[in-house]
Amino acid sequence: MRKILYIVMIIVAQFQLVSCERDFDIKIQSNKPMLIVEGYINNEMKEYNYVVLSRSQDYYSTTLENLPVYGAKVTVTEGTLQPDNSIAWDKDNAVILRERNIATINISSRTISNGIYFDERLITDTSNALLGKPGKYYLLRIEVDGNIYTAVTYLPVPVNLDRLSSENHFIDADKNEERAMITLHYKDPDSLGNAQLVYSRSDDNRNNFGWGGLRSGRFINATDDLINGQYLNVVVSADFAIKEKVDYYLVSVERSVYNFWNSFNKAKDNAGPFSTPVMLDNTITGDDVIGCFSGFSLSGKTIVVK
Amino acid sequence: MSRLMRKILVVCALLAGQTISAQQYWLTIQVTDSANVPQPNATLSINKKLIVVDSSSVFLNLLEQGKYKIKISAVGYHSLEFSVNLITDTILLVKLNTKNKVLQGVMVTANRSVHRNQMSTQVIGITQLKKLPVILGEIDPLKTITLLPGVKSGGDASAGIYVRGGGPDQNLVLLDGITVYNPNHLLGFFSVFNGEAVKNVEVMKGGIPAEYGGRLSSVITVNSRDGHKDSVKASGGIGLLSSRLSLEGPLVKGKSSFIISARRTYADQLAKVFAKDSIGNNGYYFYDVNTKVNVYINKNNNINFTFYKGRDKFSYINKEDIGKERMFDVLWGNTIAGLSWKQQVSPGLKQELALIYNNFDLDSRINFGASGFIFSSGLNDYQVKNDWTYTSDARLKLKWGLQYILHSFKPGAGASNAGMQEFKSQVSDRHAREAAAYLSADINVSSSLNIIAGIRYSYFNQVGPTEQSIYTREGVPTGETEKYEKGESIARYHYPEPRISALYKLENNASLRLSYARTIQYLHLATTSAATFPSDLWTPASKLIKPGIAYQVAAGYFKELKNGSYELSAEAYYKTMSNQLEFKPGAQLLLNQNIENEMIFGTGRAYGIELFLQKKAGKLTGWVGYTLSRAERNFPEMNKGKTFPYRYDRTHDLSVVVNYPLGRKWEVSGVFVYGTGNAVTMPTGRFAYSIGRNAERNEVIFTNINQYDKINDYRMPAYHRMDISFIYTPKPNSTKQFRSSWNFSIYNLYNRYNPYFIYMTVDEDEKAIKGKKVFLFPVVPSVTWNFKF
Repeated sequence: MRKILYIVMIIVAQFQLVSCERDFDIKIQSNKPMLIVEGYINNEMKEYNYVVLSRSQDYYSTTLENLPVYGAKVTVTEGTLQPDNSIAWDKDNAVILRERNIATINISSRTISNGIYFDERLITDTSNALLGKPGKYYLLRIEVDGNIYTAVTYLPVPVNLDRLSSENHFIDADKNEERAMITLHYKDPDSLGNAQLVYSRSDDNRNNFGWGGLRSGRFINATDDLINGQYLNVVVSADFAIKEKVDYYLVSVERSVYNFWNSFNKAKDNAGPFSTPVMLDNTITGDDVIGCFSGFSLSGKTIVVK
Repeated sequence: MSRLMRKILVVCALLAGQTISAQQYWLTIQVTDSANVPQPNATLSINKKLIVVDSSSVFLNLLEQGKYKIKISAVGYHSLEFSVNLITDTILLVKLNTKNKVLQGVMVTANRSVHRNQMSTQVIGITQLKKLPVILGEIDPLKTITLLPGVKSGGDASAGIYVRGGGPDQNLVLLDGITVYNPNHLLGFFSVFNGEAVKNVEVMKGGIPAEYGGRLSSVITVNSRDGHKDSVKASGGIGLLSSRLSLEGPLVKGKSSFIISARRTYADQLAKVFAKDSIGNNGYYFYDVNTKVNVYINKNNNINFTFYKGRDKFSYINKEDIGKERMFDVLWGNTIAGLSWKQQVSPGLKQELALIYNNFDLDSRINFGASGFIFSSGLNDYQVKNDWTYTSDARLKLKWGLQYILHSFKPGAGASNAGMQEFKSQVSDRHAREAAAYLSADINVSSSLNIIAGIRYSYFNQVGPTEQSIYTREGVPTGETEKYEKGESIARYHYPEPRISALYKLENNASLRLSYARTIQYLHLATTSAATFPSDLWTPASKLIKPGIAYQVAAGYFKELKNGSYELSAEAYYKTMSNQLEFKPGAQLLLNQNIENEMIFGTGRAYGIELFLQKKAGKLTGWVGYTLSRAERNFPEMNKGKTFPYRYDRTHDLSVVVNYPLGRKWEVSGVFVYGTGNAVTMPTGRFAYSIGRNAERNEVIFTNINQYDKINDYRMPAYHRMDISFIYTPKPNSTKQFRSSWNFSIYNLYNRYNPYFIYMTVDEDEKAIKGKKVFLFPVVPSVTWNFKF
């Protein structure tokens, strides 16, 4: 939407008109606070399996960060699809997630450690800590303030990321250095309905924590509706310095998870006269709740940019 | 009588072969201007009984033998009065002379008649259009009609026209009877209609006659000018935004004529010269060409050819942004052509056969660094229609006709070029057949009561060849496809569309009117934005998408005061609409195989009162229009199923239009508009999501997402604006061939900051969230030089 607005502004400027902006007092009503759920289960990085719980707040609130929810009971249960299409949940081995300040992931701020729920075996028994398995279903159950919220996600078989290549070199005038973009090479499975997200890690975010601390491939979240079964060579718009080490994760997701992150990307880049309010494609069941339990099947590769 | 003789070219031409009752004869009167250009909507008075000529400027009636006093008048022309002794079938070709001081005292009027049984209809002629102040001096029929009650614009730079609570795709916009699917240039800043080529524009907001169909809310007919039949003429104008030139004349003197009008914007060329550093190779332009050829084969047969082609091109190239080249190139436009044959089969019977071609296409290319993407979409129509009119006597006039359209929709084809994954994708083309037959009767039940009753029967059939993927309810593709062979039926709909309107004449030049109409719309415009864009897609009714259906009743009181100097009207309407279509917020429209999964369906309702007072004579002319209305929508999947205001629901809408001559050389026109602000959805809360931690800065990373509650629950500030224009004619009495005038106008005279949109932003310094409004047009002066020779 911003692109469209930009186009309009260019046109207006071209005709030497003066479009202007002024402060404007917008009086809006406050909404009922919602429970915000951000949960992940993946098959590669144990410390990246966590749930963040928070509350929505008044629009004009001076707090810009999240409002953590403390003391929730959070469990994740693995399930297997049965021949009759029902899911058998392994309730005996349900994993309890707790608020913990885990040294291994170097979280020192209360803001993120409060309201973020981990498998505490990350501290006590790392090798047995929660890890997703492709082909399995996972049930998230949250109990907070007497209310129960649930969500189910599926870890698809990961699409193998064959290789990375650095191409499309150019000179960055500001930094006065040569940079390049990365191309991901992989084959979309023959079956329809596959969807992937892309995350990356490089020098500037290598020590960041959390899925929000990685760079996400905003423009290439894609379904295979139009490219089913093709061998793909996808250029990601992010650029990197020569000799920089870059990790890429091709993240296979089920359609409901894709839809959520697709709506999230639209919502975060939504402004201007032509925008319409974007509401997230919630996957959590319960009253007054928004969020997604994201099952991520990862396939990663590393490249040193040439 | 001698004066009459000068102005009547042919008097008393006997029509052979007609045997009618001994005491009744056909009286045919065609009204043209001095250039033989027909003047529809001229008013005739025959023995003080008022009649309006039809759209082809012909009055035809069977009258008793005897003497008749006839008076003919039209806005901007001298009236004519004469007597006719009807002793045989008679044809009168009447030329009306324009008033000598054309640029002085021309009435600014929205023309209609208290005695014409077509309620909710108004006509604005080009003479009036040229008087009114418009932004950058660009005459725009579609912008001007929004000054009429019940017809609303979306605000500055909004192309959408909203008639009685209907959506922008619910207006049947016709250029010489040919549908124009995308009537906008410049992302909606201007319409595609070149003022130089336009004769008049007519708006029907309700009581739509049976000959029109395919849209729910209104018919907007733009009629282009006929060329001069006797000599070659040129006219044009040079303005800040564009220049236009029109050339017209005879092909065979007195027998056929042509007119070709073209215009182009040139800001892109000026920018290259004067602002190369800031604008560079970025630029936008549009051009359009209108052509019309009239061939008068004989007194009973005419052939008309209309052609329009318009293109918009936008280019944006940026090489400086971190060294990677960004490029966005888009080209779009309409091409339409129509060939019609008008035949007077007998004195009472005439027909028109038209063949029509219509095309809209869009091509865009986007490049970023080495990556590129190409997208194209469009539609094609082939249409044939045949309309008949039979006038049996003064009491009955019948109309009937057939229409057949072959639609082809290209919802989108995309491909990537070098540097990115090579793929070519195409959403399967869609095809449909649309047909309609209608019959209507215009019956003078008594001298006071006129009824026009009609029935239209419409038919729509989506057909192959096409291939459609099958999706689950959740939008997941099943991997199966439905394939349809050429001509194979996919979805079929057909509906009767009854229309009726009644006029009851009261004492003292007043009348009461009632109308009822059921209208069906088989095509929907797929758009998620508040504006209309060239990338918006027309989508046919299908298995899932049901046709829109509207019912409208309207009642009105009309009165002329002071011998027709003033006209007063009050109309009330109530309209319901079903199968209304909206897209889910953030819906993906381009290259979406499963676009129907992005749609939700609901209903709409609109009601209101429109008041209109017009001063048609005297030095001061103009009108005041006021509408009190409500427009609502209800979608089970939106707003928790509760009814919410339509975005363009406008409780109060006021327009004031005045025109006044300031001596012989100067004339002033002014416009004031006021409207309740648009209803928009604003966030009611927010939350942080996609949380992470930045190790280097030791701070939380997150994205703020807005939370919404009620739909369209917030009102933008009221929109109001005053415009003024002065027309200066240096030599008003000049008898020279070359004549010119200057138009000086000021748009938004008191510099009102009407918000184009409002938004929220984070003020990093104050660590607070603030509201902002963006407005497009502050006070904008402009000057245009018009010439004619």
